[in-house]
Amino acid sequence: MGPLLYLTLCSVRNRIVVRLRRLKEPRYAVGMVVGLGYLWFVFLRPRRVPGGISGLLASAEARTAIELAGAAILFFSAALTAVLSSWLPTMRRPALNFSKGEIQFLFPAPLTRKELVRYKVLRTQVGVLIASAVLTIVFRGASLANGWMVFAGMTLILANLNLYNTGLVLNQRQGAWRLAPGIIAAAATITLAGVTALDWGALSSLSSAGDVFREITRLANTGPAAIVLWPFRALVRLPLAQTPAAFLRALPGPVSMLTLAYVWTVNSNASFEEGSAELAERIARIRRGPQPSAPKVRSMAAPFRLALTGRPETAILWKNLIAVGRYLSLTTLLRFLPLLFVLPMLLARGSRGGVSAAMAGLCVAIYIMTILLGPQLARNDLRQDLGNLRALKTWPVNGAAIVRGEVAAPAVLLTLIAWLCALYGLIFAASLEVPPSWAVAAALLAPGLILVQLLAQNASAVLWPSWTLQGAGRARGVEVMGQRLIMMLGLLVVLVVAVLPAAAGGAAIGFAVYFVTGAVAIIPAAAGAAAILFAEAFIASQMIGALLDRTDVSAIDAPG
Amino acid sequence: MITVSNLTKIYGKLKAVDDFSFEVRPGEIVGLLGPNGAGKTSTLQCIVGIQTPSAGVIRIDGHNMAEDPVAAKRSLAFMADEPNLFDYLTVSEHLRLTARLYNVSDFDARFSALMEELQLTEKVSALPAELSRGMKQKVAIACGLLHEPKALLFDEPLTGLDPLGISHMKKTIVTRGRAGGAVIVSSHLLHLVEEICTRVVIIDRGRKVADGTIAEISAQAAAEGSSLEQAFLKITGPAA
Repeated sequence: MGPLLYLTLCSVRNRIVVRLRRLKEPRYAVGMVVGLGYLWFVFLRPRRVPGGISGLLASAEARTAIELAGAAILFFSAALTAVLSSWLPTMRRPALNFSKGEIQFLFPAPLTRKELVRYKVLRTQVGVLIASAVLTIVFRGASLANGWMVFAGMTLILANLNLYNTGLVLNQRQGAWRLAPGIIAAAATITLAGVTALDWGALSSLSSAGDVFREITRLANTGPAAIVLWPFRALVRLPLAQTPAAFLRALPGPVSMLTLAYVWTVNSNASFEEGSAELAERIARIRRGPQPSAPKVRSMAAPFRLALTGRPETAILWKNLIAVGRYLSLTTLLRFLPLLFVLPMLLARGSRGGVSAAMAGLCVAIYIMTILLGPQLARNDLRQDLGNLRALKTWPVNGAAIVRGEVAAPAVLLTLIAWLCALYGLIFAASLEVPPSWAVAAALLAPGLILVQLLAQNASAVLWPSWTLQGAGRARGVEVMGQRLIMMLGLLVVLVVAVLPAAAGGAAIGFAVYFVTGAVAIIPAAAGAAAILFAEAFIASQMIGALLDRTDVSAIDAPG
Repeated sequence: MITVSNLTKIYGKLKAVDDFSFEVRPGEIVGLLGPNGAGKTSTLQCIVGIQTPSAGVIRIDGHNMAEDPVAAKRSLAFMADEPNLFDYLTVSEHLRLTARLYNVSDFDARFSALMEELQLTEKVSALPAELSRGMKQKVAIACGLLHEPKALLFDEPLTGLDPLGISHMKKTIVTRGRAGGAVIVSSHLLHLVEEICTRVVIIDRGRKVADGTIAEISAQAAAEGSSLEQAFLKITGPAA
């Protein structure tokens, strides 16, 4: 067995073993069950009505339409890649994506360049097989009985594209031949455009869509267009095959193309080492997490000047707000600010009730999304800082203060968005006779609702860091998807549990005011509910802080 | 200043540190030595509160790390082998954050002095992405030294430094020790330990196997007159 085959087999085997071994842990086992259940429910459960690709392929005309559309997409993507890689130096990327480990071990090893290219090209096909399997599941028909044709067809399409792109990039460094693919692609595109232009008179005179389709089919089946489109139609025909015999009849063309592309790619003598090393470094940087771009640094000041004394929560808030400022450009956001003020004013004026209602509805929708989804998406808190947990643990700050400081930045930002929505909702709803107290109540409730959810998210980060970890340390797989589903469900339960006492308290205050004054008092009710939510948030921060103090960083998993 | 009593750290079935005790007094620079996997990093991480001991007591400046971690950590600085900085904070912002966390009042004077000492003056506005590994290491050290800690722990402090940086680092460690700091230096570089440490503790398979001056350890290893390297190999070798 060759060393590269050995490397591939060992890597695949060990990855599977690691994944299986971790199923001994209940959290992964439960995650796997939930993840598989989800996949079955969404993709694999038997369908009563034929769906997927077989549902679409009921008629020969539909099959031809899909074949032509698919071939056109493949043609234009291949032509565009060839033209761009030939004439635009900025589009040139490293042809082969070697990992840092592969570069360190394989580049200095006594292996020929051809062996390295062959290894990498074949290794990449593992990803092609996985992608084909996913596409087969998505596009399958009522059963998987004929799925093998979809799978084999998709595999051949993706493998051809993959080899074509790799060969293109490898050979673009080959001096005089560099421009050849671009010239061929341009010539083919001009041919198709010319055929269409010559037939434009006939095409434009047709009145029905069916006639236009039949004319396009005739053009694609005859003359130069048929020659240009043949390789792409041959590829698309494979997953569309209705019977094994039709599939086998369509097979020789794509297999021949694949063989040619493989020989072309593997026999390339182009240099790839330097580009691959750069790419590996870039990927490693991306996996380490987002990196701010250097030139913008000096133009972006901290949100406020941090005093040298005071509560540690403020220092952590300051740190996390800086992060937001440097990931997003506040200047860009501020450019939209006049628009955000002027547009609603204009729309809310006069009798444009329909537009006002729509805008008010939009504000309500954004408000709800900010409250419900915002805490999951705005992760510039402990979830983002898990990678720095070692540094955080050495600070002379108790866990509760760290937790409060960490959640402060996303809480402040999301609350601002929710308040803006409430304000705009108030402006738009003015002509709709909606009481302003509704907007005030929404503004009062927002920070508490956001805080309890952020704390729940951060509690899960402290309790199960490996479920939350991003970047290189993040575990992957069906079981991890299942874990995330469980976590989402858990967070929903936490939200309900947190909201119930607040809702009960708010309702009690509202009824009390109503019985005393006879007026519906939505604002005092909301203020009471908000106070309860804040109290819950404070208690939760103390509890999560105590957990954080007891957390052992060695509990964070190795990547899976 | 640093007292480690009967420290034990267990990961699953592996006992990484086993009933390990030692003390570092003010003004002492103690070299913590041991082969790979001996338990050095686990010990250091337990001392600074990154990891929780499975058993045992750690006291920093009289404060029990388990009972009063905030007070204990206030006297402490840990310089890890891999400088983990916040990607989005500049050098000066790292130090300002540290100053706030440790309540450093005369920040400006200390900041300038440290930037000068660690040759970071021209990099105060730089982000970690713009710094070399050695520079990042210096930033981490500057953050560690800013609050003038009484107990300092260095894990492989010379990693990634250029010759001038190495010279400065050795001077920095020795200066802090002479100024009354209790210093622990964990390193595989025996010549560094020999050069700057006043005492050496050797750990092997989680247990303390030697504790004393270099002369005492050589005597313990029955390798009188030999170098620390020979004594270390004799104590931790397969026959030990």
